Amino acid sequence: MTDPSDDEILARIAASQRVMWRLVWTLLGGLGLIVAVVAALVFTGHAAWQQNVWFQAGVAAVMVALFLYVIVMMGRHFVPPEAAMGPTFARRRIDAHQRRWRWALLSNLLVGLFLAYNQWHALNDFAALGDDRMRLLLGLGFGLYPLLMVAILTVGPRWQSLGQLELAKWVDDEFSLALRARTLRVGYVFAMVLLAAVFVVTLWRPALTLTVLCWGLFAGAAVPTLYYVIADWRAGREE
Amino acid sequence: MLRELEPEDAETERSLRNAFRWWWLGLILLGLAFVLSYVFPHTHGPAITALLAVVLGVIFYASHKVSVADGQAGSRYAFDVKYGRWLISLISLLLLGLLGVRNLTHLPQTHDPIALAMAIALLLLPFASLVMGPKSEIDDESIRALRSRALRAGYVCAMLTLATVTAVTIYWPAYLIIALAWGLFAASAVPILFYVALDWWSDRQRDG
Repeated sequence: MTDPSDDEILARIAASQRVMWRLVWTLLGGLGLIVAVVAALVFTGHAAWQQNVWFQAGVAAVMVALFLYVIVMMGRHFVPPEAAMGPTFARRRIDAHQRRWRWALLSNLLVGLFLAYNQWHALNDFAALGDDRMRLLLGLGFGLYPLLMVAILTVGPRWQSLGQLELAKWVDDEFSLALRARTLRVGYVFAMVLLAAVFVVTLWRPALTLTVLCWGLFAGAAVPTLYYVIADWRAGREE
Repeated sequence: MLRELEPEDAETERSLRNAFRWWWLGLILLGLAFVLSYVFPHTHGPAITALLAVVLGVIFYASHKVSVADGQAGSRYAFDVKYGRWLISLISLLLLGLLGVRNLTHLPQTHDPIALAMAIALLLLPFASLVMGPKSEIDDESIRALRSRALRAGYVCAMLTLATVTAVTIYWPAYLIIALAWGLFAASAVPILFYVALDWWSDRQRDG
């Protein structure tokens, strides 16, 4: 069997990229569909459904399942050919992985925003029902997502290829490492300021504590994620 | 036979000894502040914060008293002295953070905004010192690499603290203030201790 030509390798890299875009649009489409359903409920006078915690939990479960599907499919179909590991294609491969990584981070942000909103709603609704066990379960269930975002951000682009050491060596280049170090420093400073702010809110506006914590948990993961994506984009990774 | 100390060596040694003396004095004052905070739990505002200012001043004064003789400038010894000075101030600030925890857990009884600001500042000082690092002249690549790992641990720890505080708010709201105060301290202490352990370990590896 002969080695594929350069044109074939480039075509297969481009095909992998197309798979990635399809999956990203699937995720965004799913999110848009849910937003449309909720908007339809509101505008047809069935807004009360939105307050139903089981409806919220169901929508969140669908969203998480969709996200996991996209992640699994990305890992399975985004497979550039072995020959693309050659030095001629190194830059293209690194760029392709970094691009996928940035989109994964942005998709994470959207899902995280959606879950933070759900968490905040569910906690308040179950507080009205006086069901503390359910509040704890939902609060932690939704709260785990920002922690997953933190883990993804901390591990870096290698997250996409855990267990594939050869690939990790390619995607986690010096630039990525330096950028991630800066990002995590920003994240740490932001999280500490947030903790101090929660203290002030707790003492002077205790009723807002849970709201600040719900959104703070999301913001603590979202701010460094955005910082990374913007800094990476500004550094001209796309060039 | 031991080498006679050169005049510049002796000057640096004397200055180092002097700094340690000031550091011990700072620690004694810190201990005193702790005792006072337990003896007068409701009057911690004016008395303890004034004492704290003295402690901080003494520790920073002590750290600036360490000077390296001109003849030693640029040597490994000078680097160690300056780096040691930063490590000592980092650990001192961490100890001050403990007093911050003590004050924060009493704040609900006082609602004193100045005391709150002081206590939060005490808790954030060690974290700020770790983020900023030592002076740029000694902040070499190996120190930056170690600090970067410590900051990564700090970020994870701070986010875990936020998640834990959320759980406490939902299920055990009575312990919220305690969880927040200790959480803020832990989010500074864990990366600092991690950094010190990494530093010690890399020193050991280097020395064979």
